[in-house]
Amino acid sequence: MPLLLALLLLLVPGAAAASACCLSTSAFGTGRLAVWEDLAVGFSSSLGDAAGDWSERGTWRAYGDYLDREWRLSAWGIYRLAEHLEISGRVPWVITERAAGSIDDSGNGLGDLSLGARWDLLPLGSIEGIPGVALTFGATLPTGRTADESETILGADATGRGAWALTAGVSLEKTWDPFFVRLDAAGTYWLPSAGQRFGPGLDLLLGGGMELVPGLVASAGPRLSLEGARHDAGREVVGSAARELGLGANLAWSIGDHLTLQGGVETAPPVDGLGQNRAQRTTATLGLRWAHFR
Amino acid sequence: MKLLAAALFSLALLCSCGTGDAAENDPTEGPFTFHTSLEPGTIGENTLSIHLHGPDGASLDGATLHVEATMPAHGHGSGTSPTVEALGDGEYRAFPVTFTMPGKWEVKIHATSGDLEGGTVLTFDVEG
Repeated sequence: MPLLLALLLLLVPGAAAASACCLSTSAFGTGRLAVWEDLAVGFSSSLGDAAGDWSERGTWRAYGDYLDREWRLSAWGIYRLAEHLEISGRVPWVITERAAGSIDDSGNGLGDLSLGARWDLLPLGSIEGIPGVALTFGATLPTGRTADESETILGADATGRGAWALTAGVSLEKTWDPFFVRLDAAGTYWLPSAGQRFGPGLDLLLGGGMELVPGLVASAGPRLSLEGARHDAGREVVGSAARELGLGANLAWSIGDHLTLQGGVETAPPVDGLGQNRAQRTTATLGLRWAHFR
Repeated sequence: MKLLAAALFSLALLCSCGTGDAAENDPTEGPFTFHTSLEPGTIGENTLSIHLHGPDGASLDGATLHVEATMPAHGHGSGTSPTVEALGDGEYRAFPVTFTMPGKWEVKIHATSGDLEGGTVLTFDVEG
């Protein structure tokens, strides 16, 4: 139902507004460039604790005597390559703390790098009544340390999945000053690595927000990530599909002409069936964004 | 009836069991029989005791065993490979069998003795 509502909202005519075009630029993740920007760089710090996990059958189970805490520091950048084309990159550093019983373990290292590109097929607001449409492309590079390469007892120094991934998607966005709604959908294909291949992925983000006061944008929405079954030596590993649902809320505050402070929280209700083969993590993020104007 | 119950009970005793969380035996492949016990069966380092029987049912010494622990849903194991020590009289000990996180783990045992080879897979649901 929420997906249908979002699609309907995207079709409702809206008045064009200069500020409305760029409400969501820093609302979700790395985001995108505003029309007056040709470069944005940023830094973010995310801290998340796992309170439990979902089994392969989707049964939720709370952790007892187990700690799994991840601190992720990321540096990112977006550059305008052409009028409607921008490229981006993100470099994460992962710090993990785990504990079980009398065992304490920690580790850190470079995570998997990600590269991206966004092509505004139909720029937001260019045709009244029609949502903006952008095509997105991405790649994940296996620059992190895999769990099999870990040198600690609880694998706390593992920072990546160990495989290349290619992503393609579409982003739809509509604004009615001061409100906006956005729908992102992206498919991921994992390349084979070490005799195995992760299943294809599908990521959906439905977000909406508004400018509370000039320069302060609040946004929220659900995120759904699905991953197909893994294949090992050409055979499907039964029960290895994954599912993850997150509910997020974010604030983006322009603290200067070029600077934006970003903050957000994401979690998932610990309910049977909402996840599968994934840990349930609550993550808080704080970041800073600096932009150069054209 | 009593004889049937006794026979069923004896068969149950022959099943591999892990201490801590119960292990389920996937079908064994090959001519060997594996009796196993995992201590303590929790996150971290564990000791897997294996009693190996040959095709004739007798305890089998001198076999080469390889043990590997993986998480089938996640596609990874742990960073450590267990060392298998032969204790004699068909007894072997693998350490450390490391479970790095909660979830379903598979412990694969592969044995070779002369021209014979076989294996089995144990499944553990490790709690966090």
